[in-house]
Amino acid sequence: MNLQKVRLFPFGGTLERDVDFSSGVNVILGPNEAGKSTLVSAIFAILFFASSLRKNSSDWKDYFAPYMPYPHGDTIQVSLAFKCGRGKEYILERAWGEVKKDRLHLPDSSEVNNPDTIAELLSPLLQYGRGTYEGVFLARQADLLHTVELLRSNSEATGSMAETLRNLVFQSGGISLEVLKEALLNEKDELLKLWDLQKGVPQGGRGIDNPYKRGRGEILSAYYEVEELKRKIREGTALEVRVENLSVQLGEIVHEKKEKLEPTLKNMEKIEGEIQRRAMLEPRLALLHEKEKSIRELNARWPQVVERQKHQHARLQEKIKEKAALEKELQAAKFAMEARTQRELLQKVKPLVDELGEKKKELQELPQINKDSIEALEQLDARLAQLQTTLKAMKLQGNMTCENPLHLKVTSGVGESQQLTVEREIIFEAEGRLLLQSGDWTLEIKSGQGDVTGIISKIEKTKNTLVQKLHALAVNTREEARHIFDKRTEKEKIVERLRVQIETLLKNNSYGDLAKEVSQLGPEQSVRTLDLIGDDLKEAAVEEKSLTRELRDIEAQLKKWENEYDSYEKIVDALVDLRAQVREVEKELDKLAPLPDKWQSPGAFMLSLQQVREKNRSSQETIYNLMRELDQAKSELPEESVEELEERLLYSKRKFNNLKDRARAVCMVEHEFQNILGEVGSKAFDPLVASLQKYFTPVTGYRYDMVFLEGSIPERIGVSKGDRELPVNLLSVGTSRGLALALRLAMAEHLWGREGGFLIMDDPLVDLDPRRKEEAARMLRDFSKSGQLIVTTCDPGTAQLLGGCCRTLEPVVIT
Amino acid sequence: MRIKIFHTGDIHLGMTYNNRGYPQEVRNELVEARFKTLARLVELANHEKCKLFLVVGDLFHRTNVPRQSVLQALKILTSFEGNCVAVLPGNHDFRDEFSALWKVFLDAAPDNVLLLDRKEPYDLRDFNLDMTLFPAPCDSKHSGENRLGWIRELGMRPAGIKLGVAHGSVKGISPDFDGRYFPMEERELAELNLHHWCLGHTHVTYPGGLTLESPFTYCGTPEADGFDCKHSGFARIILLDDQGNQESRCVETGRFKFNELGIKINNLDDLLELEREFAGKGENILLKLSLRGTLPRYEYNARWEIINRIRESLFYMELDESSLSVEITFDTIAEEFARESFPFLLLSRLAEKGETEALQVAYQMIKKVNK
Repeated sequence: MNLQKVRLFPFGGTLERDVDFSSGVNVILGPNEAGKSTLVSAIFAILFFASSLRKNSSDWKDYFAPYMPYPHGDTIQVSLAFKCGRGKEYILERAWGEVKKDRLHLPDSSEVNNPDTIAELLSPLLQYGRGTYEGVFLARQADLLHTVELLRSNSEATGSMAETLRNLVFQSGGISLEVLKEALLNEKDELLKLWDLQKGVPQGGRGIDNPYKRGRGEILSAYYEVEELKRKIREGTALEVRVENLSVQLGEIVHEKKEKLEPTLKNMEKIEGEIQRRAMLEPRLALLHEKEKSIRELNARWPQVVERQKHQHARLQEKIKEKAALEKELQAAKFAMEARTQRELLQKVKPLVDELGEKKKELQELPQINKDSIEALEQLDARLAQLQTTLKAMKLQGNMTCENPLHLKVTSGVGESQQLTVEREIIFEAEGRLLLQSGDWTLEIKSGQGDVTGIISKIEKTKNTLVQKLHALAVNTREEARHIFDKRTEKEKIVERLRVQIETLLKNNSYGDLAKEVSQLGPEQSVRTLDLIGDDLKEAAVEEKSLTRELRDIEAQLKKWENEYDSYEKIVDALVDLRAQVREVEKELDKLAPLPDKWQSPGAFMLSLQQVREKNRSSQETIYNLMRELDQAKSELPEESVEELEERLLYSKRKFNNLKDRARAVCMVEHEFQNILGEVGSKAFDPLVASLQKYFTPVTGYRYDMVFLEGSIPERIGVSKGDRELPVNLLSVGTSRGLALALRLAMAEHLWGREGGFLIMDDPLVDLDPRRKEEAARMLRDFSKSGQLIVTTCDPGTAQLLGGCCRTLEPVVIT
Repeated sequence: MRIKIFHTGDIHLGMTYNNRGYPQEVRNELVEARFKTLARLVELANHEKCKLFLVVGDLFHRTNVPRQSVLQALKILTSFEGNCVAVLPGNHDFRDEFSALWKVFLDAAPDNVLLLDRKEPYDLRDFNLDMTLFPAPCDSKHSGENRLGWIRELGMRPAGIKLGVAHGSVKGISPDFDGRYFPMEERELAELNLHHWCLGHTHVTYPGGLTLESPFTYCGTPEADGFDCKHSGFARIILLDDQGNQESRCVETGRFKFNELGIKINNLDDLLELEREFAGKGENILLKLSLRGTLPRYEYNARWEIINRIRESLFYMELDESSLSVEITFDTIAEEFARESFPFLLLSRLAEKGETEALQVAYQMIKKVNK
């Protein structure tokens, strides 16, 4: 494809601009804002975007939104004239925005306006897809530096490159290997998605119980279909078996009910009423028999009871008399016992009364010295002792000498006077006072320490008082008074003890009364002990009580019989009546249906009937329940029978196996496909490496001459004679730009092939130093010999270096 | 006195045909066809002036068919102009206690429609037929024992024609490997001393053609229901007298014919012959066609035209071409692709390895992407 002319009317800031292109080098020169990049975008837009492009798409935002006329324009329009094949000329016109247009003028002057048809017609003319053009043929300035990175993510461009290169190695046979590979992968994916072909199970082991809902491949879907059918068959079989079992069960229970229960019930119910009557009469008859027996016994017993009543009554009377005699004896015995007691008491009390009289007399003979008198005497005695002690403490000592013997009456203290004869010398010792009396003289010496006189006076006074007191008590000394007092006290105690003893014995009686009473008791009587009499009396009372009770019972029994039968004579009448009733019941029983032998009693029959009824009712309930269950089970039966499902399963299994066979075949094809690619892959990229090195070495100023590719993408650069290698991500901006330029040229060269084509580069020489720029320009010129090259630049020097046809763009004037 | 009996069964009304991948419209027609066939049977019985219309089991496909289907069947049976219609429950429409299906049937059935659901003689003298039916009704879907026991134990036999009616397999005649379908034996049937036995269950009529020897006849299904049923549907018309003389003949009754063909084709002429075979008579044919063999490339590509014509001429066609392939030889490969081209390398390598299926896949795929 060779571009002839592009017209923008309007596009971006350009209202209307025509740019013609020639073959070889075309330089679009213009300052910044002249519209060079706009021109490149317009060519890309018209080739790849129909007018119907949605405004919310990312392409619209990238290629159209920035180019809508500002501020009011709503439509942009481009036309592109190009030649293909042997000079066949086409004109493509498109308008985007409010006015939409897609038109392709064909070489035969006809025109196509359907966008889809235009796309179909353009596809072979363009040879490659949009990705390849973006990555290789249409290099916008911003993309140029990042060519390597952009190509790495541009699978279409690298795919086209790989395919082109492979075609150099072997012929494609008219097919696109990439398309074939994609078709193979698509087929494999459609078959095997979420299926593990090797293990023959769903990926992740997700069976029918936990199936994948979305994204299933055909094999997995077929597998689920098979498993689902198997499950349905299992469920259907189980349901069919359940229906059959329920049906059999229902049949059996209905049979049992109809054939056994209901006939039995019917037979039993037929005689139920009579058996019920029998159930009433038979106990009644038994009762009548019982009663008859009872009356017969009574007939014999009544006279015996009357006889016993009489006998016991007589015994009771005797017992009452015996009891009265015993009570009398008891009274007499009690009296005799009391008299004996009085006598014994008198014997005990009398000595005590006598002793009490003696002791009282002895007490009366002793002076009346009481406790107060003794205490008063003791106080006086103590006072006297105190005064005497005080006086003794006033010690006097004198020495008397005389020439002649001297007779003296000496009184010391309050002591007794002594008659002394002093021969010559004497030493006197005195207490408080010394009174020497000798005929005609008296010498009284008193202690000067205190009131000796007063003390002596008090002593005298106290002594007198003491003497008076003793005298009043008719004793001489205090000790004597004390002795008498103690003696009195002792006697008083004895008197008191005796008095208490007597009072205790007599209680509230007086001794005189006792003595009088005893004197009046007659002679002592001989009697049985109270205990003996009491025992006899108790025994008599018990017997009396027992007889009384028995007689009361006999009386009640007789009364009852009299109430029942009126009199003993009427018992026979009752017996006759009873016999008549027995005959009547027996007659009625004879008329009733006999109790079948199977049952021991009517009660057992009725119980059995109740059980049969219950069983019949329960059977009916079971039948209803089974019917419900059966209906339910039937309603759950699948619409398709198990046989139909089994046939369908065979069909599905066949389909499943066919799909697996096909998947294996597809995998085998893919395997061989990859093998062949692998075999040729090692040499497929050699031509690209050669071309790349041819373009790359000059633009690096001959610093590097080796490029190492990973697929079609450069990984490292290096020098052929040396071990210096650099990863491409570490290259300088200038070297990177050079590599990008070389890569695009090398790729374009191979992609074009012999057909030729166009390559558009937006200012590719920027960032290169002058030498590299010169080499690059030369290289581009050489390149343009095999195809059309359109280069934009803002640098007139670059334009000059590139030579070729130069178009100058004037800056866009904004009005 | 001879009585003419229309002997049919295994009609399977209510069959849904869900078990194959039929399109909905095909299924609808197949479902409806079974009712139409019943109507045709009654019409045929009327035309033949049969006195007894005897259905020997499986009138219905299952016990839970919709009430409407039961009533529709009864309406058709009511149009029988003979003396009596007798219907035996089969193993698909077995009669158990309180069966809803047969309750609906009995509630709506007119007096001359009998349900042979009891193990007792059915005296048809009330319907002016000197005949007694001895039925062996099915009371479950499967059973290892037949229901003939009561006849063996029966003492007195009435006068007139005594006809046995049963549904189940007969050893040696019907496939019943597990003995689950009320199995009977020919000797056992003969020993019961009835004039004849009208049987159902096996979908193929037995014996074929006219025969006077067999103590029993299978009527077969009157309308084929799948590719395992090769015939076009039959019923039997039996003339029976009280001396045990009987004449039995088959009548064709079905509309649809299921054909299963596996054909090896070597060239398009084989397909064209198949087309000629169905020409003008295929509108009621369902064909399951398996093609195998190899065709030269040009013929392989041209086969569709003929196959589509065949398909259009038929009611339904199911095609399996998994064993049909293009004839791919080294010469074919070399002729079609340049030597050393990728397709050549790939196909010839698969051919060398004998991976025929992979070779076909690769070839088809290359052709597809080459379009």
